[in-house]
Amino acid sequence: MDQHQQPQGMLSGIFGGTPMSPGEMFTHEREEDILASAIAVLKLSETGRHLLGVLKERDVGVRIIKNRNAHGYAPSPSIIYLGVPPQLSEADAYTIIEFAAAIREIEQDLMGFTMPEKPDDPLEAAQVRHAKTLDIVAYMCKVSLELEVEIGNASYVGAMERLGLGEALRMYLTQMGDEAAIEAYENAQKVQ
Amino acid sequence: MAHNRIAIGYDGGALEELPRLNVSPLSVDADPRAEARGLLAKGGFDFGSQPGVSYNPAAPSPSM
Repeated sequence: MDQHQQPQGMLSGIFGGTPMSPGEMFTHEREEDILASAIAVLKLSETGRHLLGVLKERDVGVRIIKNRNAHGYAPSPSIIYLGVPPQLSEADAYTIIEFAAAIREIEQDLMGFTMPEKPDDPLEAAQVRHAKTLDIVAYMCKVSLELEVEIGNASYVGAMERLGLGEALRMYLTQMGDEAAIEAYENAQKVQ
Repeated sequence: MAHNRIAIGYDGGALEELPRLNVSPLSVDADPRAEARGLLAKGGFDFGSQPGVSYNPAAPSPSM
């Protein structure tokens, strides 16, 4: 098949060398250790236990791939790709927060909270996109605060700060209301 | 639609009231390593089957 018709064809020697499968190229060597540690930590949080229940009941698969930064990605409701720096052997705070965010993204989809397929109004699509992201940020806040209380260190709140979501976290913590949360979220977008 | 409840501009309710699926929370007693093996076994690499999806190792974190 023409490589232009098959995206994984890009991995078939286009940069020279021996062609590699996506699994060979991306799989993190400590995949099972990282996922097991992420599950163990998320279980310490009530929201985390709920999110893990979504994975289990809805038959969602997870792959841990190598990535420079921790990064969660859910291209469909059946799979999460969790990017983790290659040197890590267990999930760090960033990985766990990103994992929770990716699961919530899938939960949104399963609830029917999806992007409009062909929106007539571009602003409608933007509004839904931002509402979905704000909802995910709220879940990142919930998990990070619950874990800070359960584990008793500031790793998770610190990670949220470094992700540019510290203000959103404080708005969530003090329940300043939706308007303040949206403002904090908008400020976080400027930081990114 | 569920998203009407939490669209920006929604003027009632605290963030805790965001909807959730009705699922059973994962048991705290189950072995995380066994659960990890179960989840990994279900997940394949399907980058190629997702139109418009590509993997960008330089993507910032988070992408939101």
